[in-house]
Amino acid sequence: MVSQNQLFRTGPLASVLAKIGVAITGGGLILFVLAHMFGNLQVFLGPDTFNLYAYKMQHMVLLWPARIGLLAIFVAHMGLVFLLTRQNSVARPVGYASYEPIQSTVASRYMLQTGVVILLFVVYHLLHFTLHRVHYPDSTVGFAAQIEYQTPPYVGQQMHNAYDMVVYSFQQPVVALVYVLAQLFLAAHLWHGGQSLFQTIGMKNENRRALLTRVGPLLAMVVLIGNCSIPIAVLLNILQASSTA
Amino acid sequence: MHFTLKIWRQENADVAGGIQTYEVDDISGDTSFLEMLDILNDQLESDGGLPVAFDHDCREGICGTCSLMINGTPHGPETTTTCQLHMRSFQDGDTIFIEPWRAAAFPVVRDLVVDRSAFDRIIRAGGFVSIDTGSAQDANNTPIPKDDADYAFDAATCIGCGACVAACKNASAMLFVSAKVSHLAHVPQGDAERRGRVLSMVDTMDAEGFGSCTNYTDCEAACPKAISTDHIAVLNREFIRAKIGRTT
Amino acid sequence: MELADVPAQPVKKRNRMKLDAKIPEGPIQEKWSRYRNKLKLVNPSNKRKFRVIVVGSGLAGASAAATMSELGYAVDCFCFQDSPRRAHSIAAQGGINAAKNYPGDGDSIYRLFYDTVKGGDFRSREANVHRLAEVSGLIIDQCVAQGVPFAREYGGLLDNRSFGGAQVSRTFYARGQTGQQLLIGAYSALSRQVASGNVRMFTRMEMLDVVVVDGRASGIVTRNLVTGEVESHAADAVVLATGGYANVFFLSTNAMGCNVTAAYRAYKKGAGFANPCFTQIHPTCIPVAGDHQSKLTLMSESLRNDGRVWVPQQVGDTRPPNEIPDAERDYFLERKYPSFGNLTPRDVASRSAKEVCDEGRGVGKTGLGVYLDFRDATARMGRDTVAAKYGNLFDMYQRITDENPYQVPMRIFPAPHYTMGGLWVDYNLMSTVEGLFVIGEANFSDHGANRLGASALMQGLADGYFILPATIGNYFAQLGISHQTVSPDHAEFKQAEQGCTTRLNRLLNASGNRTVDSFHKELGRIMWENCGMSRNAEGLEKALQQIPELREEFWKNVKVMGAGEELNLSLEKAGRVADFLEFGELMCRDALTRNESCGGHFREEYQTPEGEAVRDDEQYCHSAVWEYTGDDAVPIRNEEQLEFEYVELALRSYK
Repeated sequence: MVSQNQLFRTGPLASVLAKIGVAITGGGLILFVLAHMFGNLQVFLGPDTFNLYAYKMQHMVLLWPARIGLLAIFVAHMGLVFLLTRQNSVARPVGYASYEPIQSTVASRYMLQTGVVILLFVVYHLLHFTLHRVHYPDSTVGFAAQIEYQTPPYVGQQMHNAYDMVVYSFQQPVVALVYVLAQLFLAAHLWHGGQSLFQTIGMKNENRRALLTRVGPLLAMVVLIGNCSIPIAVLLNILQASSTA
Repeated sequence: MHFTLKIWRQENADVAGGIQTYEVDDISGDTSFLEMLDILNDQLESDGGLPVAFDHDCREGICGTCSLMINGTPHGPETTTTCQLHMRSFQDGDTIFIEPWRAAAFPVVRDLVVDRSAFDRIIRAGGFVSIDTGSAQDANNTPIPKDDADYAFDAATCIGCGACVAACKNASAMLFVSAKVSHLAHVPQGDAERRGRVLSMVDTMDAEGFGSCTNYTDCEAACPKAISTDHIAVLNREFIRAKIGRTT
Repeated sequence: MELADVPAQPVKKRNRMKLDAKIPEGPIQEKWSRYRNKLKLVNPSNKRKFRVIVVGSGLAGASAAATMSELGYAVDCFCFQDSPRRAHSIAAQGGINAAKNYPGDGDSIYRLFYDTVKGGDFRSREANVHRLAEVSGLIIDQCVAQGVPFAREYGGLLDNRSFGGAQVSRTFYARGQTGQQLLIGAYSALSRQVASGNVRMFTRMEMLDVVVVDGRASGIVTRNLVTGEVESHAADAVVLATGGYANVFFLSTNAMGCNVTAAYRAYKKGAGFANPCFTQIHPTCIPVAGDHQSKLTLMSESLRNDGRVWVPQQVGDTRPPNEIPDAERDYFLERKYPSFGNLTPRDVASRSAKEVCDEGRGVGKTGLGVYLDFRDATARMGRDTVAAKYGNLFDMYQRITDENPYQVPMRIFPAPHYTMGGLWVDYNLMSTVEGLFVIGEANFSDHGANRLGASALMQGLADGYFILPATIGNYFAQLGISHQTVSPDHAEFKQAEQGCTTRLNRLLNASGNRTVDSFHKELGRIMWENCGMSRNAEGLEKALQQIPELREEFWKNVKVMGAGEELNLSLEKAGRVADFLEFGELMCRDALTRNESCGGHFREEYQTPEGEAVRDDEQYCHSAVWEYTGDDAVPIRNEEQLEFEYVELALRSYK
């Protein structure tokens, strides 16, 4: 037993433990978001690099374990938040007629809402680019789904034309707009979550606080700019389709 | 000065309450907020009405008895307690909302008076050092680095008023609990029981029905003693240490 | 009551009350240790059979409840606040004395004892004060072990400062919040015992009466402040730790809830009330600003360590303070008391401030104030050092007055702060009612006619942690284990409950048209004018006429709204004010019959041509112990002679 004093009692799932779970899974998701972003930014290195990257990701040995792991983290993050939110909502049954937040950021107060938007976006994003069920470009706009690789050592290898898929998709302003808007929500979520997690895992103190508190906004800006750069570059014709069907 | 007061009135815990409107006149800026309520109560009693019940005692900002959500902020616009707030912090003609602390763990007793005994129960769960009277060694046998003692003091200045809970969107008591955990984690006397203390206090906090901490930090801004949320990080650290540390 | 002489002491008067102080034999240094060795003990397995009620949860109450519970007694602790942590001990700022001699500046138990007896103007009991000094060091050990974060030096050892005129540094402190930190320590010890199940804690419960069965205190009657229920609680002993009565002045530095009710009820049940006129007026309070004011705020006396007190030399000098040149300032404390200067004891400093204001040289809008100036301190130490030492006090001052004390001198004026008088207790801290113990500010024992700074916390904790838990065991051992706790259904309890209910109903049904506060304010004015910082026979006689008239009007014309069976703050206040209206009379009577000036009691008739107090050791080297004889009867003044074997009775001079 952990408790040394019979006066002390401990229960199964403490709110603090749940919070630490949210922080750690959130940290994992942040790492994924960063890796995902840097992977995608290879689109600026040209079709071959980007398609090869997509190809390698698709044919990774641990693809499914990784997907399942990521899904587990995502679900755990949401599940713990669900438990905590339920606790929080019963903690104040009668609200205030007048309530003024003092120093909390807007981002911190709307974590649940931004999180839900992100969840919806992730579903859309998977339907779009992974499962190819919505807004997937077709040959009528000139999109060729398969393409022959041009650079050694994979010359002649047939690959999914991920590069053109991105470009043709984002040439539809609605799609580009959805992605940009979603990134705003993601950035808001990271603005708070990206620094709050250090507090929750106990890393902040008087000396580190100022520094660690800046991590969230920094992360939010990096992800916002990085991820939005792709649809915007497409709309501005900086990125153009590599082939036509 | 003249003020329009919108005050929560509720006869007891079992009946519904509501906001009532009152007017007070000729209030000097040097009047404290509670003295302004005294004046209102005098006025109400003279007119045969029931005075507004509110908690207060020392009126010098240290006992932690006074409360009040004033225009949506615990203890009003200054970093102090309601009893040390003066009417010069308001503009002539202002409308002021006065409500009780709102939390499931702080049920309303009457009007603006709430029951904060949940805080006492959290302290009973571990906010102490188990030392019987008379068994202490000489006070100077254990030197404590000044910085540690000062940091412990910063946490120990908590007056248990509950403003942190009132300010928190989640009605979380983490700042209160962390202040005691951090106080006793920064003095060697608290060392022997530190693992059990944090787990037990957090457990009781949850059982009392407070919300969880999502790091809004409104609590530290509302705290009349300006206790920093850094102490919440200390609690989290202590908690992790207790969970993954040695279990024998 | 038994007719008895006080043994082995020169008796001038025959007392009706039996006032045996039970001071143990032997040299003063050994009295307490010898006595403790002789105290009867209760077998550990039998302790739980004894139940003790503790009323009040301040330093004395919380520490006593916790310690007695640790020893194994069953404890019921009551407080009127919503939590035991809110008792007014929490507001003490400056520090706590202990004869540790850590700085090596020559302090000792004897010196602390001597300073306390002298500071109390030779109106306290030597043996009690020596015991207080003896246990003072243990208090610090105990509090540090609880985790109380006292101020420390860079080496990690405890810091001490000189306080309230002491010439050694023996005051331990925790910034300006020593009382808070000590109370939280005692509260945490109490919380631990509540968690163990040994202490039952009753909050928002006000004691309305003490119940005496067959001459022994057997329980109390309380009113549940939330439900209004009047209930009986029985026990084998009752401990009152209910604080002082400075709120009799309406405006004081006490919390709004502080009251005399518990002590006064005990007095009416046969406990002698000692020296009620010994009240302390603290010199460094923020002056009154207006009629609406509900209380006065104290600023730590430590401000006088560096601040200089002055008024303009000229009457009617209304220039802003910073424009008055040094030559036209009167640093009156430094002038009159060159060796102690601004650090003269509280009673002396307060009276001097009153004198200069009476001369018309007071400052501020009301003319009731003197300057406390940090100009020279800032020049000497730098603003940062001043801010580090006094920053929180300066902030508090600025918040209340809207003036910046870094730029303009503070204005201060004396205010009622502490009451040395209280229920008479013997060496065991037991009152004249068997089984009724009184500790902390509520008793009269250790401070004589004036309390030194940083001694109240010491006394409260000494009584609660170390003295009462030892002596109460002796009482229980004498009761014996065959002793049966009186049932709360006993006729005495029922009668007491009935009495309380009747009184509450009388208040509710008075249906007059004056608010409770207006009576309290009027009483406060009478007391402040006639029984405040200086008193004279004429004024006191006038007060003794006015108070009964006011009391009579109160019962006819008070207006208490609401019902009895609910949270009713006006009803609570009304009950307390009703007791103050009786108690104030007792205070004036005591002041009138003490024909000398000593400590906080200054009778204008008894002063030197220079205005210094003149004590009369021939006639008044005793504690006056008042005995209740009926609502309409004049109480009897009994005397406990005081003997000074170890400290020579001397003129208390701070020149």
